[in-house]
Amino acid sequence: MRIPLGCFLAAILIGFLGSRFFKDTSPVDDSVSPERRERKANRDRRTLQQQMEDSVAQARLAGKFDPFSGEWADWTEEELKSALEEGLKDPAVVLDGKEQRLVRMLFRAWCDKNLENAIAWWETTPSEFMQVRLSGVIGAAWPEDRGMEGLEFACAHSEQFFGYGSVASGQIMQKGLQQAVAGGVNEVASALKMLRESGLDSRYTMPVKFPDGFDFVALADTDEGRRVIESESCFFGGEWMKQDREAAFQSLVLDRSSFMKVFQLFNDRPLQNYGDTTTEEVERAGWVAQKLSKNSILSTPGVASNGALSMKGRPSMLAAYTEGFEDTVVRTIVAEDILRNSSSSGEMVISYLNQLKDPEWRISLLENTDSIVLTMSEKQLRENLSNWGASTEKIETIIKRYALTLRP
Amino acid sequence: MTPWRKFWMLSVISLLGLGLGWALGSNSDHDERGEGKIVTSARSPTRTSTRIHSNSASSPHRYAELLRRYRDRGNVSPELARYIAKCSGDQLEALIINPGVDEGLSFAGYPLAAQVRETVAAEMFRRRGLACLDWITDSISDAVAITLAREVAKTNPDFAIQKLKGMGRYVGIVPNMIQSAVINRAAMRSAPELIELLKDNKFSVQAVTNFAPDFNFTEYINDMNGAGKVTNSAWKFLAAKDPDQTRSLLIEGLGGSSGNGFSAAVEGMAIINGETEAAKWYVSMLDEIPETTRKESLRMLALSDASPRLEAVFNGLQSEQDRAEFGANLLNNYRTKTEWLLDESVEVRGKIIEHWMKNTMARTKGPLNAKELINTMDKLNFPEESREKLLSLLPPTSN
Repeated sequence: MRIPLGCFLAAILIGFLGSRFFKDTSPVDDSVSPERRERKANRDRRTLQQQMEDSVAQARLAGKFDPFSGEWADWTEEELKSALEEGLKDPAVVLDGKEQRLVRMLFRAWCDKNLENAIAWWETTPSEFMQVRLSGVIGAAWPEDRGMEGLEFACAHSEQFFGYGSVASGQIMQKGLQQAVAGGVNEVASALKMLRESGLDSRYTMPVKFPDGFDFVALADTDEGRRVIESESCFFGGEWMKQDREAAFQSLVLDRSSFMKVFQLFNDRPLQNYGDTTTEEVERAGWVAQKLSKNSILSTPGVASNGALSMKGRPSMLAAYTEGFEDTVVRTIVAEDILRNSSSSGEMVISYLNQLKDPEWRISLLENTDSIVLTMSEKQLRENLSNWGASTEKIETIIKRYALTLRP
Repeated sequence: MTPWRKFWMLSVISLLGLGLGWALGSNSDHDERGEGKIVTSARSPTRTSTRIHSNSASSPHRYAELLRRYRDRGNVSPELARYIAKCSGDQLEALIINPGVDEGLSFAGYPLAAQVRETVAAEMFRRRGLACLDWITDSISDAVAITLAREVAKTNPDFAIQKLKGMGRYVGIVPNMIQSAVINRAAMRSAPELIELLKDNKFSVQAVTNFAPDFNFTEYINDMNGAGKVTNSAWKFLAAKDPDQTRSLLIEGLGGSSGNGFSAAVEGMAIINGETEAAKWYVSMLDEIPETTRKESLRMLALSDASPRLEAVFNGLQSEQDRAEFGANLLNNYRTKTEWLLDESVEVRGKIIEHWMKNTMARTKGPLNAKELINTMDKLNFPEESREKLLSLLPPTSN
């Protein structure tokens, strides 16, 4: 009896170890033919892409990204509270932005379980710094259908939603304003008044969507609407532009006597969103530049370059905007400013230049723009210059110009 | 039983065992949360290495375990972490170049793509070791190269620095992220190592966010003597960790205990204990430090960008002289809101303005501009009827 049992146990052990060994080495299997490996890699890439997309979709759905999201259901409120208190005592966690995320995840988990209790604890946290850091989580967890209530809450705690170098009110303001939009012009105006009186600034809201046919003219005509336009922080400028460009441009730009900020015309999505640019956005950028060009007061390099800042990281919009200016001097100054602002990323510079229609102008800009620090590979720059039709002599001149920062 | 039958029986038993063992091994890193047992696997940094059933652990223990797993796993979901651990080399390269996710999607400002990239970098380093940097070529973007080099720098700082410099990338400059990884690694080891690193390299200033549990702050601050972002980080961390030791060292005048040191320490104390407690803690030291240090610390603290801190310190100061001094310094802080000063009595605001006049004249070594004085009185909403007295303090040459 002993022998069969011994064999059985030994076999289990061998099987276990064998599976572990082959599992760790299987991703890089050299014995398989290159074609098969390639086919498998293509299949796996698709699966990987699908996994990534699913993961992002889940994150977007939940309004958060949390590696422990599947585990919080096992935690009691008391455990979450206790863990949060441990975290807030730990300097390594509190002082480091990346580690702080863990505390925010714990707090988010509690907010999802019981928002009222989580907030009651948050209000008693001694560290004002951490209160501000955690208030953004309250905004993210706040139910959409109680948006106005959330706005009132944020206004009552305005100091905890703004400070220590961070603005944490974006999401809670957005939820309140979004609900106000459904109630019409007067409700939006009331919400804006409440925000102003509490010291919160509507310019920091996450983008708010407006239904088709919303009466922006009436909103702009309210006291609060006028205030946000006059303070050049019109959070509804981008949405208005999407629905009625002429009226929005008239109200936000032409009716204003002082220097205006073009970014208001594109604030229908977050500035740092580097996702795909829509055709409408590219076309809007060109349209705005053409309109500015037609106004002698506004067709200045200052106004024009300011507008380009709101399109940072979106080369096709930037190119359409640049080429929309009729005055060649203004156009060149805008292009040079864009190059200077993008030059930390060689890829961005090349991507922007490739979107400009005239290859000769691309070469000329690289040849003449001052103060660009072009960090990219020399080979890549050579290839692009050659594709644009630059002569050998010109290529060498430009390469020499950026020799200090180009990679060999 | 015949030997032949015995052989067959043993073969069948062995095959069954082999199959069972294989199945157990294949499934051993699946999530077994909730099954009440600890599973340990130290093979991959991206794998969940230890899991504990929720109900079997006390909360502080659960927190410690959670923190350890968070630090280990690279910030991505367990599914994605497991997937990355199973990717082929080609797939890892494809993934690190293009994480394929929306850069705009983030959790409180930390882009998801960066999390994915970091996890992939950790996996590439785990498999290829230092050779993972050989894969960096011209066509690889800076963001990818830096992420990979930072992963190497956490354990092999010199190699990462030399490799990047050797490639002519960044024109011989060590990128900030690499510097930060290298400095933080030294801080997690020991004070002498951090001192040596900073003395040997011309790093641009970088903050440190964590120090070894037995880090000798006294040795470090004493040796580095003076200001600097890393020294400020040390004061900040120490005050957050051990306010009593920090208090003794500041009073003792360790490393010259500059105004910067006080300011950083108050910040660290406040981040854990709140502004009011931090202000009380700071004020309790004022009678025990030299006059120059006292003035310098009041000046540096007034430059803070945390409005609640400024208010708490102002309210916490006991002597009229200190309040006037601090209030005068606040008038030079143009970034931070100090409207609460307007609630102070006319007498207090008058004293602040007087102090500000004295400081300004001492600094510029000349007469004060009357217009500047009026602007300051306006800023503090100083009543018209009380202005004459302050204006009369101006030297005759002022206009």
